Amino acid sequence: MPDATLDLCLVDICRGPRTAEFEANPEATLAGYDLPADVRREVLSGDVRALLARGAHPMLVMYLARHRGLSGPSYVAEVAP
Amino acid sequence: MIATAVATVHTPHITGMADLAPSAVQAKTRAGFAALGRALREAEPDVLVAFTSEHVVNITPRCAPPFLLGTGPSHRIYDEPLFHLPTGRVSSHPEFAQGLLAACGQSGVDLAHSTDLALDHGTVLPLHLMGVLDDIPVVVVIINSLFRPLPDLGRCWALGQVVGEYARDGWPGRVALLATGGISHSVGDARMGSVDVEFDRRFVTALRSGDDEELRRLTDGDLDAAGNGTHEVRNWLALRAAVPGWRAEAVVAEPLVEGWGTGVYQFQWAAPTDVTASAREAVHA
Repeated sequence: MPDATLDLCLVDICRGPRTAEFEANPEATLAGYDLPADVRREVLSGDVRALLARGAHPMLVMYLARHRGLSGPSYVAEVAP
Repeated sequence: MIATAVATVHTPHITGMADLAPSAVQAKTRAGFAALGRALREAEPDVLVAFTSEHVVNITPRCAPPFLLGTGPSHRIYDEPLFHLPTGRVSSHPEFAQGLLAACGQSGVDLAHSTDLALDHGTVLPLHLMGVLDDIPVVVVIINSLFRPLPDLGRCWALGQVVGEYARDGWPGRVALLATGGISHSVGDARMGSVDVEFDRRFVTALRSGDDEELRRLTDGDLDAAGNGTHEVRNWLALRAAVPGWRAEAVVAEPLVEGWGTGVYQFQWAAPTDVTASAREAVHA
């Protein structure tokens, strides 16, 4: 099932109003969201496979990876079965 | 009246990572866009209605309407530097948009509406590569292909029917139609980079033969099985529904472009007595 809070967080930090804030201070930005500690760690570390396994929206996970500097082909390799 | 109708993929690889594909495919794709652009200009439309998808710009989990119509005098371009597309604004046609909004409401197809849309590559890439970004006012109908529940496929068909009726009978000028997106592809998940060639064959065959029954048999399960990005075919279905009886011609049909992870499909429709062959001839010359 999609995690509504996680998806909203990813929208904000990848496509929305908190992108610059997240880039400047990721931990403080994530503190504003009611996310479990392990999910927070996965977002901070860019653990795309774990986030996808949780049901995060794939497009948002891809945008998170892009923000962390992962190229398109590298992302495809990272999420491949 | 409906002056012409075209559809094309909008994969950002085309401008952002073009070199991942063979140069011949790049050239063919660009020639296809140019041909569609010529067809649009030759049709001399007053307005272009774009059935399109977007990628978490206007539609988010906070607010995800099935259909979103732009009613402002222009639309912002959402800057995506990786894709090397123009910035600025795209002119629109508020009078047409308001008339369409009313017509849809009267027909039972309710649209969300906004005077402040931002358009991403899903719309801007085709307009730019067709060379019509600054030439033709664009009324945008964004169909939610991202956040479930997505609009029922039958409702997308109904939307297209109402748009077609308004363009033919409710508006005194010349209207062109554009659909962008798909066909099969996956974005962000483990299948990214792959397509469903069989689904594409089925879909393209139905388009070419005008087999609306086959198109209307498609289910969300079919689209899910072909890849999450395949839900963008809603735009193609809406366009097809707007031009019943018109004949589809494939301008470009590349089943799978290695490196881009998608096929390249570009189509033009023409009324049976109004065949515009310039697009096809330009690409196959």
